[in-house]
Amino acid sequence: MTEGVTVQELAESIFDDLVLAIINQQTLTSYANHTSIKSQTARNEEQVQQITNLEEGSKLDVYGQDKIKLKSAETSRYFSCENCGRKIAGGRFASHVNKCLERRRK
Amino acid sequence: MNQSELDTIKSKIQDHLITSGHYDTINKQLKLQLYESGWFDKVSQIANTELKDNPQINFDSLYSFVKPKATELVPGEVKHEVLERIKAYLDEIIQ
Repeated sequence: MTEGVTVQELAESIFDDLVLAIINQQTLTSYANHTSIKSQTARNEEQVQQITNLEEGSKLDVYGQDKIKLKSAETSRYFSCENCGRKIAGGRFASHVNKCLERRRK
Repeated sequence: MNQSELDTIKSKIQDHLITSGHYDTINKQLKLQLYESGWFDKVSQIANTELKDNPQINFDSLYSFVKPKATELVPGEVKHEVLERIKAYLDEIIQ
């Protein structure tokens, strides 16, 4: 009876140590990331702004440009296809090149 | 059994656990299962939220803040499985 309790106690105590070590390490990682970001950016207001752009839900990229605008500018820009010489919109360029090169091979 | 007795036995067993390589195996299994259950993400989220709300916090306060929450978040089945493994190992060496 006492043996059973002891094994249980021992096992739980060992388990707790394992978990606590992992928690400690994980907390330290978060803390270290936080302090290193802070120490590298605290002197420079502009950089702080860039780092905050990395936060979830931000519409800006690290250069402070609007991500959504950039993306639509990219898809509506025309690129000329080196293979057939036609101008193709950025959004359709990948699928065009795919088909265009296939056509030529035949 | 009192605390000091438990501690002596535990330190002996821990030495054996480490030298036999069991410690590493069990630790790896535990980490893997915690990763798979999403526990690591939750714990870093707790730590990061607290760091955001309270940027001047020191490591000790952050650790005491995260510890109880993280311990509670360990999924029951993970705890059970790892405990069974440790117990099986203990049964083996206690003979």
